[in-house]
Amino acid sequence: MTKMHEHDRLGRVRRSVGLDRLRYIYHLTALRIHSEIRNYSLGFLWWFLDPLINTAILYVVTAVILQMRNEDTALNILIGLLVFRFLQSAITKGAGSLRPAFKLSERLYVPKYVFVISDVLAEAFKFVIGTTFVIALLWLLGGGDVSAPQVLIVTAVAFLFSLACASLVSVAAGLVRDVQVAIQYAFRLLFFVSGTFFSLEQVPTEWQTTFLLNPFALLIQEYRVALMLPEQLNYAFLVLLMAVSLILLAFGQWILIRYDRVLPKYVI
Amino acid sequence: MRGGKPKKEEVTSGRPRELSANDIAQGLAVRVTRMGVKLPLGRGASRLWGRRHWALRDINFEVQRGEAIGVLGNNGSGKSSLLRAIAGIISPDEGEIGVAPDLSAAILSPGAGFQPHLTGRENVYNSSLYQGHLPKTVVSKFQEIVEFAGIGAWVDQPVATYSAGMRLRLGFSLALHLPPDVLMIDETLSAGDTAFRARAKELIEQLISSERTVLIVSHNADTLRGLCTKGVVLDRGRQIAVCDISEAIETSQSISLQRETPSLAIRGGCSQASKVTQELLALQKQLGALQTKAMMQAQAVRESTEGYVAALEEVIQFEKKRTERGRDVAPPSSGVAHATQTNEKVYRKLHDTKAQRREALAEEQRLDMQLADLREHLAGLQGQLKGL
Repeated sequence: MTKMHEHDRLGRVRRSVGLDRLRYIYHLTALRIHSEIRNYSLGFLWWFLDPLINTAILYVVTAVILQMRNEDTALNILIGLLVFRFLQSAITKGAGSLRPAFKLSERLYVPKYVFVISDVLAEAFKFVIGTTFVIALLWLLGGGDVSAPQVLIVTAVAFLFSLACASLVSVAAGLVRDVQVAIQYAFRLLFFVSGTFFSLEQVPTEWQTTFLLNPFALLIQEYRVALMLPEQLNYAFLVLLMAVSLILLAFGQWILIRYDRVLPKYVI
Repeated sequence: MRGGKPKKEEVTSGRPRELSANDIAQGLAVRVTRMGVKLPLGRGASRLWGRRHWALRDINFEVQRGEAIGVLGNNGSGKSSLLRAIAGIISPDEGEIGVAPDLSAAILSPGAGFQPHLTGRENVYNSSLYQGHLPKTVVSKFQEIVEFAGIGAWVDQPVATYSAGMRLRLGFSLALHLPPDVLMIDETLSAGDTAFRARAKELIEQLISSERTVLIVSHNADTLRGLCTKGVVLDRGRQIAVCDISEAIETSQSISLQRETPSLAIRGGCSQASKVTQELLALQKQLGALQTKAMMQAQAVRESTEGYVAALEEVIQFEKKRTERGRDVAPPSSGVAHATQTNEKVYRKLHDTKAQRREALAEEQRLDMQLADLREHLAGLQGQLKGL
C-alpha cells in the first residue's frame, strides 16, 4: 500500500492531488462521527433524542405555560431546533476545530482548513439524518408537505453558510480563546430572535422582512416551508445568502490556506 | 501577524521550496539557506501585535539523502523550531528551506491525536490519518505495528485503560512503521522501557541503513554518536557549527559548560572554535581552582592576623601584670622561673604568629598575581573566539 502523500513533500497532501485531499476530508469526517458515537453509551441515538427532548421542553414552555399554541407548534419547534442546532454546532465546532489542529502542529503538519471542513461536514451528516427522521415523522403522522428539491436547496445553502461562518471564526477562535466564549453568547441571543420556537406568522407583519434578514431566521423559515408548507421558497433571500456565504467562505478559506504555516506560531 | 513588515524578497511563501534538478542529481535531500524564524512573545491576543523574537536566524546547512544528522544545542536554542520549519509546520520569515520534491519530511510523533475513549485499533487509524496516511495504508502494516508495540489483545480495549508505557509503545510503533522519507526525531528516543528502547533504536538503525534521511534532536551524546555522522550545533537560535558528529558534540558540550560560567560568546568555525574553546575551558578550570585557593588563602591571612593580634594582646597583658608585680612585691624564686617560662611562651607565640601572617600575606600576593595573569590570558582567548 502506498502512502497517501507518495508524491508529496513534507508529509502533507499535495494541493494538486485533489482526490487525495477529498479522501482525507472524507476519512477525517468519518473519524469525527465515529469518535462522537463511541464517546456516549447511547451513541447516535442522541442525534434523535437531543432534538426530541429539547422540543418537549420548549413545547411545555411556549405552548403550555405561555399559551403560544397553534396546530403545528410541536413540528415548528422540532424543525426550528433541528436547523438551529445544526447551525450552532457546525459553527461552534468548526470554530473550535483549529485548537486540536494547533496542538497537533507541535509536531505534525496538518492542513487547517481540512479540520474546519470535516467538522462542519460531520455536523451536516447528523443534520441530514435528523432531517430524514423528521420527514419520516411527518410521513407517519400524515402532516407536512415535503418538497425534496426545496429541502436539498435549503440544506445546501445552510451548509455553505455554516462553513463560511466556521471558516471565518475558526481563525479568530484559534488565536484568541475568548472568541469561543463570545460565540456562545451570540448563539444565546440568536436562539431567541431566529424563530426557533415561533413561526414567521407570529412576527408582526412590518417586521417580517427585517426578521428574514437574519440568516438563521431565514434558514429556519425556509426549512419549515420545504417540509411543512405548500409554498415556494424565498429564492431572492436564499440566493443573496448563498452569494454572501460564498464570498465569506472564499475569504475564510483563503485566510486558512494563506496563513496555514503562520498561525501555529501564534498559538501557545 | 504584525511585528515589523519583513521585506518581500526575504519572505518565502511558507511552503518549503522544491530543490532543483541539479541539487537532486547531487543527492541532496534538504537545503536550508539563510533561514530565520520569528516567533511572537507574550500570551493571548497580545501575541498577535506584540513583539517577536528571532527563534532561529541565519541557518545554513545541507542534508544528503541517506544521511543521519544530529541537531544539538541547549534548551531554547531553536532545535525544535528548526525541525518544525523543515517539516513545513511553520514558515520561515527569511531565507528558505528546500526539500527534494519526491521526499516527504515529518517529525516522529508517537501517539499524535490519540483519543482515550477509542480503542488501540481505532487510534492506530486515527493517529495515522493525522500523520497523512489513509486507512488502507495502515491495514497492511497493522499486525506489525501491534506486535512491535507488544500490546497483544489490549489493542481492542480503549486507550484510556492502557498504562502510560503501553500508550507510548503503541504510538512509537505506529510512527516508526510508517516513517516519512526524511524522518525527524525530536527527543523521543527515550520512550518506553529499556527493552523497547533497544528495539526502537534497532529499528531506527535499520531505517538509517536503508538510506532514509534522518535528523535527530537529542541530549544523549552516545545516541547521537551511534546514529549520526554529522552534527548541527545551535545556540540561542544561531548556528554555531556544522561538522563531524564528535566535534559537534564537543562544541555543544563546551557551550553548555560555558553557560555555567560568566557568559562568553562562542562563534566561528568548528575545528578552530573547538580548539580555542578547549583551551579556554582548561584555563577557566584553572582560574576557578586558583580563585578557590586565593579565597582559602585570604581566610588563612585573616586567621593568622587574628592569631597575631591575640598573641600581641597576651604579651601586653603579661607585661602589664609583670610591671604591677615588680612594683608591689618581688616574686619568689619559683615565681621568677614561672614568669620567665611564660615570658618565653607568649613571646614565642607572638613571633610564630607574626611569621605565619607574613607567609600568608606573601602567598596571597603571589596568587593575586597569578590570577591577574590568567584573567589577561582569558580575555585574549575570548577576543580570539569572537574573531572566529
